[in-house]
Amino acid sequence: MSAQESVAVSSETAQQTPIAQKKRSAEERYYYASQRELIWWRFTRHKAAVFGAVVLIVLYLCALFADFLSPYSMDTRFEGYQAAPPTPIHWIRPDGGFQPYIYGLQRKLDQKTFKWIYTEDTSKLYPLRFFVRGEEYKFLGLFKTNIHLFGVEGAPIFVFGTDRLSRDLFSRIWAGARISLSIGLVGVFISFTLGVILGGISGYFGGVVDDAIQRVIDFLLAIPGLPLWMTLSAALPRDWPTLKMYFAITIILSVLGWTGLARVVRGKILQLREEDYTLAAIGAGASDWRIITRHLLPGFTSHLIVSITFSIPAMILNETALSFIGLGIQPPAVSWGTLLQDAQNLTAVAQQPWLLIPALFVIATVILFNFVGDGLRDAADPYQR
Amino acid sequence: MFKRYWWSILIVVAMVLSACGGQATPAPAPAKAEPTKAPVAEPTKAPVAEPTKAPAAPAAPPSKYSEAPILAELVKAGKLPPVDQRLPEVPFVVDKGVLISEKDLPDWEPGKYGGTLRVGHSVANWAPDIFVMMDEAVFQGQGISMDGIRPNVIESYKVENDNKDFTFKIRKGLRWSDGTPVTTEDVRFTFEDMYGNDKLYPNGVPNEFRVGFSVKGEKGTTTIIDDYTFKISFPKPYGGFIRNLWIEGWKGYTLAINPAHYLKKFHIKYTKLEEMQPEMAKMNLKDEWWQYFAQKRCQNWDMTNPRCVDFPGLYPWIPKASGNPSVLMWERNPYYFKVDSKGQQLPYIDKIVSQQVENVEMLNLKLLAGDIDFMRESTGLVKIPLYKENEQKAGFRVVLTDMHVDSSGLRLNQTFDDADWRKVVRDIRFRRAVSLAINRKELIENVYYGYASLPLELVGEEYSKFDVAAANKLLDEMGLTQKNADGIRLYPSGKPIEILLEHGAHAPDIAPVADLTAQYLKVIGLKVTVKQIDPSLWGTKWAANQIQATVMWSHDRGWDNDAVSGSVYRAGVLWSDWVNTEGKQGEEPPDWAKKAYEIDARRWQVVSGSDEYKKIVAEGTAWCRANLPYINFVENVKYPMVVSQKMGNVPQSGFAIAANFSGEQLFFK
Amino acid sequence: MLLYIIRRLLMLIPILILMSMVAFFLIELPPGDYVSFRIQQLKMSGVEVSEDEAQRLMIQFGLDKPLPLRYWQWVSGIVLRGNWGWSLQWNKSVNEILSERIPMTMVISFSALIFSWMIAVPIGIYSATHKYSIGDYLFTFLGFIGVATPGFLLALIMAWLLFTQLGFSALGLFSKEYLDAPWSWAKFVDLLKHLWLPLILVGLSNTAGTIRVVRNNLLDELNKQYVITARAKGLSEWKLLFKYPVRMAINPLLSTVSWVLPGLVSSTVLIDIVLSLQTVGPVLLRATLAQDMYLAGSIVLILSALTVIGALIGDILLVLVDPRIRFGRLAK
Repeated sequence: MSAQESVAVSSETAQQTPIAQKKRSAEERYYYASQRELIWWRFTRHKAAVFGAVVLIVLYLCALFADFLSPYSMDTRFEGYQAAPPTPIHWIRPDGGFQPYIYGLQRKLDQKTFKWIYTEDTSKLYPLRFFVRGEEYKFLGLFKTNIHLFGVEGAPIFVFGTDRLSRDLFSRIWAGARISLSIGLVGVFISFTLGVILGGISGYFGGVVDDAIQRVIDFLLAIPGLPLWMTLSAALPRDWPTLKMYFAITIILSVLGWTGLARVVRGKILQLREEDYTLAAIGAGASDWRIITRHLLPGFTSHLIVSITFSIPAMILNETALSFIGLGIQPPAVSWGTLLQDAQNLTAVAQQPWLLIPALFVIATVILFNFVGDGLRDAADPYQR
Repeated sequence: MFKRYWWSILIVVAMVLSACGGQATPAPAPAKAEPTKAPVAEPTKAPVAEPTKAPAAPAAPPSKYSEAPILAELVKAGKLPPVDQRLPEVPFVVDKGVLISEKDLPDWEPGKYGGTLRVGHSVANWAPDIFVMMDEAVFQGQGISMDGIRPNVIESYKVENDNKDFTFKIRKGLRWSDGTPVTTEDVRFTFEDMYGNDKLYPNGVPNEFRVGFSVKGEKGTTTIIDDYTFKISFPKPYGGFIRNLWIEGWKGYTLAINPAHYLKKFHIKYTKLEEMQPEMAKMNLKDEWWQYFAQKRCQNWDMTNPRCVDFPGLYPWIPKASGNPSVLMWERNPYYFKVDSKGQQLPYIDKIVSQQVENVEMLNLKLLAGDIDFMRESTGLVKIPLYKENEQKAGFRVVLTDMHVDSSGLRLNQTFDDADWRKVVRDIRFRRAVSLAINRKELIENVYYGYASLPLELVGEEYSKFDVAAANKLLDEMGLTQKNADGIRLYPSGKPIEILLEHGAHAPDIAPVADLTAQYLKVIGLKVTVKQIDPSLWGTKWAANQIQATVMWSHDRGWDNDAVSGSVYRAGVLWSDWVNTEGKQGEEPPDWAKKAYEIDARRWQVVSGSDEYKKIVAEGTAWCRANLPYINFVENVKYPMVVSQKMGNVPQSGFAIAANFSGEQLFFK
Repeated sequence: MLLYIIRRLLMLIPILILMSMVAFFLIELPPGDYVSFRIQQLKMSGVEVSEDEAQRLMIQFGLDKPLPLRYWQWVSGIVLRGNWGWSLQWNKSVNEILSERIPMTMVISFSALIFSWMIAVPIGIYSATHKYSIGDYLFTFLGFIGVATPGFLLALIMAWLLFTQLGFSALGLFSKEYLDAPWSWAKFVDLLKHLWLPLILVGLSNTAGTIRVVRNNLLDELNKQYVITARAKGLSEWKLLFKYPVRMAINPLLSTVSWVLPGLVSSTVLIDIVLSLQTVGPVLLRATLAQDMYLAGSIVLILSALTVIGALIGDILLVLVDPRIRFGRLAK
């Protein structure tokens, strides 16, 4: 939430980029460059943002190819491997050669604490292989295949350990990434549509319409988020199929999200419609539609992109919060939020810390989005100096 | 010395006699133990006593009974009458095997006075551990069983006329925690002014006072005989009434006895509306005096709510104001009616303090930090290794006892509105196949962490095995051989068998068990879709016959109360509707299901806990095994109970909750 | 100007009415009601409640009355008698519950806010003056961690680490011996001992946003003519920075206080729960789950009203400070 709020304040600001004054040619290029090029140049100056953008793209690709990337399906159970720690991967063979391999795991019940202790059985090593055949899945929902990026024959490999129902956490994280990463996009798309339309109307037409929309926004912003989401998602019919549930929860999360965007849009339009070129267009008798699409919208697309970048991580976080109180995505569907639900107890923190790994993914994603957003904002509006 | 000894024997004999009296039908009148040396104080007949007016000279003849030092001080200061006058003429004597069977607590000993029991709760004003510890019922058995059942707040009882007439005698000299004597006026008030008032009880007396513990059962009539004796008569045999006044659904004496002297202040019959209105305004009420009454009245399960501070009760402790809204506090009830075999008035522990922590995990952290002396309700099987690791450091021990609610069972609603489904699910072979497809060993290990066993009692050995081949064979035999492209079997009509399993995640095991069930059944060609729904919505939907399949717990063993007709409700909602409405609604159950009601009717007729009763219970479990009305996953789920190492009289086995019920005998060594 | 303020004040009335309705009906929206919640709770502990008994409880809690009537009773109580109603779940008046919890909520929210500024402002200034330096990235990264980590998880982990490493029980705001003690110096010290963890956790969640505001505003200011002029005149960099630009960059923060505070209450609910803080947040969450609409509705209403009024004050201040804002035009 705080991400969105801050946008409302900060996007008003433009900023200056030191320009290499010495290179004349560079300066020339600067003046002749298109807006898009300018944004791109400035963006690349923000190293963390570039890094963030690259990693995020990789993350999204991984989520897209989750089935291929993970050695198992998200609900394959491994009897006898309940809450097993991550399998250690060894790199140098005992005889000295380089080859990634693992040992099989043995387990024993500690008679004193009733805890399962997993130890490596070093008598036999299992090499790690790439492009192995495993469980069948539908590649991108198109065709059936059983090739997985990596795997081990003869022993199971748990890169991030297993959960309490003996399922491979690594595979589940990538399955969960699909929902968690896309919920941000879908949610933001909904907020975006609502925000641009209502904010645009509000800013362009002003008067009573503006007043009404502004009061609705005031009103929505004033309702504390968590109880609103809670009651709304508790009111959802629980017999809806997972996909429908997912969209419903996304919509609920967007109920408040659009207000911030609408404010940005309105503010920008209020400013742009006083610009000479807009006044000229009005004078020339251009239609409202044409003025909005040709003269106003291009003026703040960069701002919109920035706002969107900050909204996505907020959505992802809100999904985990809803899951914390058990009202988000429900198992058996897997999201990072539901995975974290398993981690919110002392046993996980004290004895099965690998269950907290999904949190690292959440944190990383949110931070990366924030950096990208920062970079985009610094780069936005190259003409306004 | 001898005298004292002899006296307690007499009481024990009287109790055993009266307990036996309950078992035979018709019962012989229990031998009434009239102690030769009656306590000095003759209970006044006036309902209002003068608790403050203490005798000036407490140096009366040495008492048979002793009391906690803090009470002795109050007596000395003249603020409290001596212990003899506070106890009833015949107190309840706690000894080895009285509150908990000898098997579960072999080393019972008379305890030591003093100490504060520190507990915790995670929901505002709701401390279930303490509520159960406080609870007192009309009867008392060992643990939560029907064994060794004896009168609790009553002194004696008679069952006559073929289990139709029940006569109860309140302990003479029994007093509310404010010192007022308990008389049949409290009983009259309960039945006449509470159950008889259509604002307070629009449906009249609760089901406990209807034959067969059912809405449609005939009401009993209550007659007051004298100041201490009252009689409840039913038109039909209802031996289960005894059980109902003891443990069925954690009943308290408040079912039959309520402090009339206190509650009259809030009852329209005794107090004018105008007098109540100033207080009512605080609750935003104008003339809804019944809401106000309900706010002032405390039932047995309300005693952890600060609104019940100083509410007159018969509990071992009484709620006290703590000064901090997140701390609940109880102090010993000086008028509590139980003594131990040495004549010490119970309870041993002076005070209970429960601090509210907003989250169950943090409650457990407090436990590990050694800030909690007793915890049962908020423990988790998954945390056993964590408890064990911290046992020494935090100074507690983990007692692995039994869970009083059973593991979750799979319910397949045989009256769900789907003709294809009905046809297959009503075939016992289908249910057996489902049972065989469940890998219970894996469930026990992964969901119950090894602390459970196969459901031999309700499913039986044959069908609690994991045998996919046998399951497939049964389904093939039924003719469900056609499969679609995904390997899902087809109904004879050609539709794939898809089952929607909706559960409310009422307990931590339900969601994983449901998910795993879906995967097990997929192996034998049945597609199960799992949905989690809101717990209260679950109740409504199930009752409305809208759920096809679900996973939910039951109290089938241990409580032995609803294994039989309750199972019919779990097998087909409309069938139980039909029986409850006498054929007006629902659908007529098949003969095998009707048999359950026949078994049950007999069970409610005979006196609970008798040999005859036990035989009927065994008949009921055999019926379950034969018909698989629903499919239990496991049995004997354990429950970690964490208690301070300093605590004595903690049961070693049996149901964990029994330790709560016998809270008055817990003490600090 | 006065007209503007009056108009905005008048406009508050329908908003508040609407808000009270939404607050009340929202709580009622999910299936079930308080009685079914309570029965569920009793059932978990083994108490069986019959259908009759459930019906009786409905009448006792007044839940048999139609919704509009209950709403009217609640609202008229607030307006006419200042009575916020009777909590079903707590069995005591909402006024009492709130008076117990609001002071501590204010203490935590305010001090968390100040804490977050203490971290965010220096980082913001540093980042703006050392744009794209390693320090900029590092500090911003640290700031972002606060907003990126689900607070409830961080709280759980911190509580566990403190317990195992230092044997310190971070739960609640007071040690047990001070729970029902009257205020004293020792109690205050005890409070400070418990307060720092929630401060950090609650404060961190707010830090990233603040860093961003300060950084961007400052960058803005630094580009302005007067700064360039001052620099040209040879003013020391330090003075140059702190004389005006930093002040200007922090100003917007002050105007956000009014709506950040109510926001903090609801956004930190989960941390409060994990750390067992006696604040309004957990009460609100519980009341919402239990459908105790008098309690939950009251809290939601108060928070929303605070926000709306805060926004109004902010707007008025803005108009007073900056006459260029054309408030009149909005009224057109």
